[in-house]
Amino acid sequence: MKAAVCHEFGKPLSVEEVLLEPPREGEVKVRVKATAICHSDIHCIRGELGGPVPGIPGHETAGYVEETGPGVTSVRPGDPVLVTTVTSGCGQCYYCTIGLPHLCERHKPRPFHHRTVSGQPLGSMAGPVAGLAEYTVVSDRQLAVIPADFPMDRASLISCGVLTGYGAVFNRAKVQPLSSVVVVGTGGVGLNAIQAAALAGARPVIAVDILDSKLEMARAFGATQFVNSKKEADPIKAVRQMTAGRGADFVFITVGSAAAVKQGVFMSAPRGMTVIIGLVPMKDQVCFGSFDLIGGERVLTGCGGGSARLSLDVPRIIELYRAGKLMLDELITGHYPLQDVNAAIESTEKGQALRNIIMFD
Amino acid sequence: MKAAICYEFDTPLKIEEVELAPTGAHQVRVRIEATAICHSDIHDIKGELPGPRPFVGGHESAGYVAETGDAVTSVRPGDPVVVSLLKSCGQCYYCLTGMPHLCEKMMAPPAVPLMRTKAGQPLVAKGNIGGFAEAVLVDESQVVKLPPEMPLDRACLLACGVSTGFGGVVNRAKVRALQSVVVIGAGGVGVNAIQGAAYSGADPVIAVDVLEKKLETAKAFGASHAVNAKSNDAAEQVRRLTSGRGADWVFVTVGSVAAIKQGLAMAGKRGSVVIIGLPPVKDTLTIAPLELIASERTLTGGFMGSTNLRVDIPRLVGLYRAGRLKLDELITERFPLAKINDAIASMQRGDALRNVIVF
Repeated sequence: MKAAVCHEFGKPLSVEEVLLEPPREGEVKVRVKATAICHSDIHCIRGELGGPVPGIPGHETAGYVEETGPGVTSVRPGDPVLVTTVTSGCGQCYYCTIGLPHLCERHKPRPFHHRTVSGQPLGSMAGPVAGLAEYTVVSDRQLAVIPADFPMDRASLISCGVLTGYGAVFNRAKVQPLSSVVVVGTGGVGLNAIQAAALAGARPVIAVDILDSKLEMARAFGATQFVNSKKEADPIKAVRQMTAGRGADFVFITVGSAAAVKQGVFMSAPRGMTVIIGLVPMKDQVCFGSFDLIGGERVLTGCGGGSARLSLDVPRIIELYRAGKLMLDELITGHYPLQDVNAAIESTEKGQALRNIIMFD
Repeated sequence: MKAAICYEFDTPLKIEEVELAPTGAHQVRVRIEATAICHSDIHDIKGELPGPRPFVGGHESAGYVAETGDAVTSVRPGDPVVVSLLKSCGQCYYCLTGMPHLCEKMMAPPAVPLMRTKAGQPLVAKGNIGGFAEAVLVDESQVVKLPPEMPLDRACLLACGVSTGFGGVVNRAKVRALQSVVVIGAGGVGVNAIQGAAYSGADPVIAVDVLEKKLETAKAFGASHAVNAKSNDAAEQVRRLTSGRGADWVFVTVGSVAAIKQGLAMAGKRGSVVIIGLPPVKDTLTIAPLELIASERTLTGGFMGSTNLRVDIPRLVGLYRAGRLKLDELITERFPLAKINDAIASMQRGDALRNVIVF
């Protein structure tokens, strides 16, 4: 079987033969059909988020259950599934029992299952999936069964970009109708935050990006107002003007940048909430003045994996897609075979693509 | 009438004769009976918070209404009142959505200087009060009538220290019974956060301070556990006291960026750090956003205990009179206005929870 391997940070991936161990207790082997390229993959390949090297990136994945390890009861061979970095939880710990399974205390790091042909262990990069491989082994807690007739490329998008944007709006922030929303960054995650905010009845829904072409796309996903933060002399002021002078009730930061986080906080109104959902490299820090968060009681928080409950949120998203209320088709820029993975990554890096998807036979 | 004026940062206040502007239609003139000294006053005097000079500090006040403007309806001359810096317009978005403490017009300077020196030099009245004076001129929204039995030296504490701590827990965070609470800093605001948490049924209520003496005081105000912030494993001790998870709520009542960072380490997943003490303006808080994402920790602030004066002050008075809120124990010493510099020095040394100037 083949996989795309990162041997060294910053270098092109090598598509090569790899070996895979069978699933252990609680694990499932998945035949991968589609894996989308996410910006977190790119951050990891560049070495900006750490992670094991050599390793296999890819974490927005869908495919079929090939084999189940001992003790697995939630899926059977042949089931179509999406594979995510979010855990559905042990069901037993504090966070699972209070309705926050994505924060499960027993969620363990994924063991290395792949090896190079010379026997070197291969980790998974940008999450415990290793989805840029023809087959992978993951925990049964990372799977959501999808309908048999659901297209695999769309399913792969749900597992991260859609779940993250949608979940930040509905699960973490609980955006209410008529509240004002800003989404900073209108890439794969940002557009999903925008369409979720529009679906929640937020108004205005303000898209902030540095590319007019992306802001146009944001319009198609439901944004009502637009700020080009490169062209606009004072993007914070622009947002305040669009929100009765106050700033927004909710600001979602979907780009992995500390500067965007700081800007976002000042785009929020007193008592407004800024939710960080784009992974910011660890060394990238944000500096606040002492009074910045006190005077206006602004809230700064984060959202991991859309705070998702997989078995509730994935079927809802599929239903909304089928009802024409959530757009997935429009998120896909191109399909690539595994051998062209570097071209797919490059076009994403250049900002030319929302989501490029690697398709497997 | 006399007031204590700050002409130069970090120098002793000068007691001088001053004059108040005529009472405007929506204003109330209050004869001050008691004004407590808050750490924000000390920050002001040291020049650590921005603002012009000369000024008259003091924003935790209580007294008797001396005169009311033509449009004032809620108080009459002779009424005992608490005087707060929470000026509100009643018309803006925040006033109309039940958050008058975030009033968009609160910080607008008065049209006419509230106070002047005998020579006519305008004086900034801090918090639109200037309570280190025998009388003040404030907006009607800044006063709340008190029952006649309420002692004014204790009532003045409700204006800032008590409401900031108690309200930070009860109004801002809305702490629920059985949630875990950490309060960093067991000073004048911190002990009130502690009694707010204990009153709300939080458990455990963990006091964190560097002084053993203050941790003892914290226990008297309802802390169930005490952790010395100087110990290397302070965050680990908090985790041990919270089933290994870290706290649901961490209130940072000391004005220090280091304490905020320590607070983040003490909060559990989905836990919140609420900054209620004001760090010096020159200090900056540097955090890695990544620390907030996977753990979904929240960092926010609470301003003046998110206090709605007309609702909260009578409630706090009621709690005090029912024996459910400690105020007597907050007062370390009483000073006349002439001794205000001694009162400030004792606060600066950390000797006092609250020193009160009585007139």
